[in-house]
Amino acid sequence: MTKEELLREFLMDDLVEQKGYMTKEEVAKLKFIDHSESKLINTLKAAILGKDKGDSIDTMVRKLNQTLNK
Amino acid sequence: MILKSITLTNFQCYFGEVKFEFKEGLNLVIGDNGAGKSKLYDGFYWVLYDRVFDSMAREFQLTGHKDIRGNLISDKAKSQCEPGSSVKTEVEIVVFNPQKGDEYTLTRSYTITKTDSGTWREPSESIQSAFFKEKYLNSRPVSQTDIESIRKQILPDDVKPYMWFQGEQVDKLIDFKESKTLTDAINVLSDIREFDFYEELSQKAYETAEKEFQRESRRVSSNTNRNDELVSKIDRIRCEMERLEEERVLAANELTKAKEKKDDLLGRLDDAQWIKELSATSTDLKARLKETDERQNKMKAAINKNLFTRNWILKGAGFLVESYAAKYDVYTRTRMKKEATLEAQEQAMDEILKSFRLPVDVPEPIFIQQMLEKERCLVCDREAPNGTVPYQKIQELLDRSQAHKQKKKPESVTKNDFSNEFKSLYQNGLQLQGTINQADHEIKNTLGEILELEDKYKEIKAQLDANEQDLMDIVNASQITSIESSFNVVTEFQSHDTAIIKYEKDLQRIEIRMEEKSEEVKKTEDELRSLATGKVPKYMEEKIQVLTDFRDIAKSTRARVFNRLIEELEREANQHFFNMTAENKSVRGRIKLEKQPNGNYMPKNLDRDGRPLSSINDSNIILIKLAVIMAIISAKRSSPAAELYPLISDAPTSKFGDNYAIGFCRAASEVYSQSIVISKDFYSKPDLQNRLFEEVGDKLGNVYVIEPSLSEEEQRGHRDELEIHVTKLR
Repeated sequence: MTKEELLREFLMDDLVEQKGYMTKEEVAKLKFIDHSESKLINTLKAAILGKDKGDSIDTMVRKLNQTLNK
Repeated sequence: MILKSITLTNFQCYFGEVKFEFKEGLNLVIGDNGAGKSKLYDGFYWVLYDRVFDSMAREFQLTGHKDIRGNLISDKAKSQCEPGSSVKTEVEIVVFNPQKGDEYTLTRSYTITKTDSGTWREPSESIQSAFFKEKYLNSRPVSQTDIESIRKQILPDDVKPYMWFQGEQVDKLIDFKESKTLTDAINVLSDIREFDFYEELSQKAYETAEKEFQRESRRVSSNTNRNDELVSKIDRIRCEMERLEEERVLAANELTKAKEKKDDLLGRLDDAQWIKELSATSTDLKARLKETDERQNKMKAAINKNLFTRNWILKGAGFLVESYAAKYDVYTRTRMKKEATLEAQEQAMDEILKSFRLPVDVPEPIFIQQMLEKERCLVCDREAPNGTVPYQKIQELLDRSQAHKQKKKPESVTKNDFSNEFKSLYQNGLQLQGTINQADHEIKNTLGEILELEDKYKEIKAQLDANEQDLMDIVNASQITSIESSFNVVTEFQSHDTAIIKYEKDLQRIEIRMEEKSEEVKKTEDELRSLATGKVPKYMEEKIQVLTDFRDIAKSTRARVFNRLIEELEREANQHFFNMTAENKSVRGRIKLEKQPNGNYMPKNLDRDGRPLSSINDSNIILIKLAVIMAIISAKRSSPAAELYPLISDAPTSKFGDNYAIGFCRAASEVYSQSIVISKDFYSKPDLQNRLFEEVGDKLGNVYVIEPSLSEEEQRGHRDELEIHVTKLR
């Protein structure tokens, strides 16, 4: 799966809309490279990129924490 | 990876150097029994895994054992080896990675030397393997450390069972009795594991953030001790929840197993119950037959006794009594008649004697006396001197007259008088007549009953025979091996049914407890928050919220993707199943991937109405498994397995027959980027070959026919002359 497909797969989950992050229509228009203020989207993107790079889970946990501490 | 070629040199039945080249698409190697198909498959296996198929052990074995190594080299090559010389077998595979443009040559060889005495000796390092990377006409050996990684690129171990298999192994790929195997296959062959990664990552990230959050909460708490108490309480409850989760998983697994076993038995239950009923009917009929037989024997035995005790011996003697009575009647009548006649005569005589002094023709006695005295008949007036006949005659008249006057002795009617005996016999006869009639009646009834019993016996016997026949027919037609096992099936079914109810209740109880615990955690967390005097930094609250959401979304996405994959799989599996069985008119049903209580999936074969098919045969089961495996790959055409690894299958449809071979090859050409199918199904069948070539079209790679120089029978005695001839058809 491409990064784009992966991100959309996560964001198309019903929980995303239920928790008030984005509607499905908004998700359909979203691109991976689009800038977003949503911490959830940025977390997902960071996770996808980390996996793509081959980072270990511990490394990625650390990176996610750092990102969300800002 | 694409397999470009395999070259076999003096390998098993392949004498000399034999090379097969392969392309992308469907490659076929066609050969009859004993043509070296499995040895070709062995060649691939030997190079990559140093294993060959051991026909004794029925599995692939490492060539560490000398007996196994001993069979690696062609007998013909060995027979042509001179004493003091060596003979070598080598298999070389060339693989190509189209994405990176890398080409690798893999070889494995084995050398032995013939001693002067004709025995074989292994020189040191007799087995050698080599990996070379070929690029831009340069060939360089691959370092030992990289070999494993390259091997995995060619075919990872977990994918291997689904990509390289022999017909007889297909059955084991997905065990219908072990629901986890399908889930394992899905995990291996699809990209679902990618989502497992995100699920694990999100969980760990959440746990780390939660710990941090708890530390901060403690720092700003008004009551540190209470805070610690509450934190440890939460930990304790979570531990209990973990334990409950373990219990839940255990119960769910047990429930799944019980359901699987129940489902497994379901197909046999109807038969088992029917067998049980028929068996009970047989037992009942046998008991009735025995009872009837015993009653019959008892009644027959009682006949002898009753001959004397109940005078049955007199049976049919009634006519004798009647006949006697008739004769006796005649006798008495005759007798009475005679007596009456005599009496009448006597009476008449008496009357005459009373009315006449002498009989009518006889003079009065006084005249007779005078005649005697005068010695002269006064009637005829002739002399009758004393002593003469006339005198005597006159004398007789006088005697007769006197005799009439005397009391006569009653004259007997018959010579011997048995009238009393006859009367007694008659009277006895009259008495016996009742007994005889009774005996006749009893005998008639008894014989009637015996006949009835005989008819009943025959009827029950006929019912029993028909029942037994039905029983045998159903036992033979069903999957139940014996009548006894049908009882086990029913009992087992009932016990699994009971177990299902128990585990469902257990699950319900555990889920309620988990909800309670979850509520308890929530309350404790609320209390913990209420202790805070200061404020936890906003970013930290946001972080825990985002990571909680990430965790929930990752989990939910994984479940959603998996469910969608299952739906796709089901659709694809049915398509492959349909394609593979299109040539066969037997019942095939529809594949349903059914979710089990423990979350695993199990393939089921259902009829049009969604009921499990009980009449599916072994071939159908294997085809379902094959269809599911192909579906796992084809459902995700971008899956690494379909893209990167070639399918190598030796006699994949050996258990199914020709009808399925074309369907399998067509499906394989659709699913796998490269497949090498080694098969006998198309051997000597040009029509079938042409049909396949047409249907597969441009997805057809190379096609070879392999033929041994000796027939299978000849091979037994002349292995040292055997070689394999290879012809490229396409």
